[in-house]
Amino acid sequence: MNAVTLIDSLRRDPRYLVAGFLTLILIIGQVWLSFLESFGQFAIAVAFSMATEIVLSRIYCGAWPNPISSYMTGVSIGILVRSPAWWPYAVGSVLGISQKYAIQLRERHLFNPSNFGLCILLVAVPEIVAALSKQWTNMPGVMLFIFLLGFVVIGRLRKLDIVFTYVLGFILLSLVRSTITGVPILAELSPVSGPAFQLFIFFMITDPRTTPSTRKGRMGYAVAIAAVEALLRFWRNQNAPFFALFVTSPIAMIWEWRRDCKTSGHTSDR
Amino acid sequence: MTRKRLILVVLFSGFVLSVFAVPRVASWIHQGDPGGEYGFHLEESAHSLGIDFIHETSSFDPKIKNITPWIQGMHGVSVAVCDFNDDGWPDIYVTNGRVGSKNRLYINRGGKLFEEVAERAGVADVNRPGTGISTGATCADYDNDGHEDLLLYKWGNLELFRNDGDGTFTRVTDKAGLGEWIYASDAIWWDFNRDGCLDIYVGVYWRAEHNLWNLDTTRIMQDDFDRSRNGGRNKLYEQVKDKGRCTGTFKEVSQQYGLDDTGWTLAVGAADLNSKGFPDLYVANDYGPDSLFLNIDGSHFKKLIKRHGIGDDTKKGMNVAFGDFKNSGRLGIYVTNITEPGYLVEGNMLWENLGNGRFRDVAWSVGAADCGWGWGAVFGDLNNDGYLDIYSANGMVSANPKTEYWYDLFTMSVGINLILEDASTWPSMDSKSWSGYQRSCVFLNDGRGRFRDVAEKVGATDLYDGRGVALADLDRDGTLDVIVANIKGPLLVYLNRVDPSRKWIQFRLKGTKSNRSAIGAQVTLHWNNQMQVQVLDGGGGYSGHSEKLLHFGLGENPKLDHAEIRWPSGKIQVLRQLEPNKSYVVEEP
Repeated sequence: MNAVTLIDSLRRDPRYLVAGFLTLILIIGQVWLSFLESFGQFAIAVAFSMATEIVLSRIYCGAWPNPISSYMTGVSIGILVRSPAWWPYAVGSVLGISQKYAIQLRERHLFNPSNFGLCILLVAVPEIVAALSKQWTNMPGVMLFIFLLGFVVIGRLRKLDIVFTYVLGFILLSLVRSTITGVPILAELSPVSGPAFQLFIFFMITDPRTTPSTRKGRMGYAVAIAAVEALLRFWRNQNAPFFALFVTSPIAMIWEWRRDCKTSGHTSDR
Repeated sequence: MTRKRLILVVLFSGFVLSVFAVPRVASWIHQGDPGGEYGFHLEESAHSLGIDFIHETSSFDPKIKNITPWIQGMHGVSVAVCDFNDDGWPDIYVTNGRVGSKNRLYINRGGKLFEEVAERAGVADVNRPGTGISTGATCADYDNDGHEDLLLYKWGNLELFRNDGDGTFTRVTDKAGLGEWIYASDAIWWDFNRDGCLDIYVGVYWRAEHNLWNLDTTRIMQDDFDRSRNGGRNKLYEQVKDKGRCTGTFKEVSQQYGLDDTGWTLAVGAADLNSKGFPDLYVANDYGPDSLFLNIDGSHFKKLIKRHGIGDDTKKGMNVAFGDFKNSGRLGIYVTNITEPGYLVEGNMLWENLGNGRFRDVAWSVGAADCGWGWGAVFGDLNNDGYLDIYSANGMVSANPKTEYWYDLFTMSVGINLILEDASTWPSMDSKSWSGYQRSCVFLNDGRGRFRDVAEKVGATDLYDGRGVALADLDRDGTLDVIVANIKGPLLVYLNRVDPSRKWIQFRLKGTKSNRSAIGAQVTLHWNNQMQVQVLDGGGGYSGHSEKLLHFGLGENPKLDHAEIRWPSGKIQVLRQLEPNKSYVVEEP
């Protein structure tokens, strides 16, 4: 790949923009706030993610993969997984990438890779793994800056419909929860200001490979995630957004497949 | 499905299953280790010793009623063990936390029975309305008159009681220049400048401008969960020395020495960590980094911060204890934090002292990290095998076990400061538990650098919300007994029964040129071609003050070489021809 094609691919492939944004957040978070558990754990997450992608792509596709997707998975795992141990970062990355090859429908994977790895870890080994529960900082201005930056980047990807729908759904359902449970509305809305929420809305629910292709479908998908999350929050599940995405994403993919089948008159996977 | 893909699916499924199975199998194998041969057993004996104390808590301003159990949980209950009547037997002072409640002083009558005398001694009625409530106590002979005096720290006015030597105490707070209203979590005696006069350092939690019983605002909480600095300002009170004499008056000099830490301090401890001869200061802060201040010749302090290392944690520091857990001749530091599966996996920190101001947290790798919501913890050789073990109390709020507050905290923990700081925005705790009903940890040191929690197997089975822990040889049988103060619970006294084939040696020190209590003295014992250093601290450990006793377990058939005492004055004393199973009283030459 020469310099011209590299620049061209950077311009054409929106994933580079997202990866750049993710990396920027990572650098700001780490330099300013020592955001990561450690550089070593983060490096393990990225290395295992990329290595798994390369190995499986070579075996099952016979090609060298574009590393950007696995890089983003590794970065997400490195940020979202909080553990004093090293191995969950490796295992989470391997799980996330390998499910892309093992669980497919019409050659599309069903789960967001980093979310899959995180959810399995949260269920399997909660005694040593938790999800990110930190702040970027306590200053509202910084949070707003990251939101704005995120909106610009995701806007370029034309995925703001998911983000806005989900955020709106979250706020409305927070009002409902607050009314029913008596919990102060600010407490219900508090997660919005956290980095986990920002990562979730900008990088996970907008994953092009695991979201419906039509605007209507994407908005329905976002509403479904918000609804499942609200339900899980009623049951006081602290990892509600991740599990909601885990549940909703494959259902959305299957729903879209069945819709396509009906439209084209086919009933079986190709 | 192609054969290749089938293999992948099978391998993937196996991998997912192994993620679930391997940790459980490993845990099962670990639990399956042979038990019962730990060489000691703890027997809870408070009632039979005549100690029937139940801690009470205060209510606060109704405006923060939604989080009252949380605030009550942060308000400690303390136990301090000292020989107040100079009869050679350690006595127990325990604090209470309800406005109007009384603290207790239990005098040890020969190790078999304790007599409660606080009222008669003048140290019972110290939680009167308007003066605040006790959070802890620590004792030392601050005026070098040969009697252990009592410093009472409170969410309220700091109080100093001089021991008159006749079984009574006189309140000398005003004369001493103390009595400031602060929300103290912990306090220590130390002689930071080695002038022979004991000084005081106080860790402060809430900001002093708030009155928790009558709030002007509900914006009183931490503004960050990881790096908060809006807590109360810690205090250093230096004892004034005049014409070579300790005057018994104190001046507040924390800003002058740069020790006015504004983290949410829960515990403080002092010991010479870099062998420079002056006590260094470790401050354990809730909601953010702890602080290690290295003492530069008693004239000033240098804060040690290592990126991603000591002084740069984002945990919830709750305790400071010093111990040479590897028999290396260097003091490590044990700091308790919070571990709650699925929510917050911090783990306690065990800082191994590598020398030259270098420290490494080895808690997870040696098995001393996970003890739930940790509070007071102490080092001590509980089974006299020659290696320091750790007793760690834990548990936050034990209420309705079917509900918990963790979800609410987890939801709030990412909030911006505008939400976090305001106590009125926090979900109501009602009767929810919060890391409740946790059993203390007894981390047994195997001598090869690994710890294992044997609490249940050796008899430490209570599920109260522990706070202060103190060690003492209450019955003078050559073993370390454990006293645990529980919030809204009883004071527990675990008498320790150790295999008699394991030997021990003890030292009690009396300073002459140094402060009379010898606080800050270090004893290095050499035996069986190994050594262990211990420090006589002035109240380290959250809400607990152990007996001023340096107890060394020696194992079976020990060959004692010598002990080296480094007195706070700097004088070095070497003791030879020592015998096991003896307690030595040593006066500074």
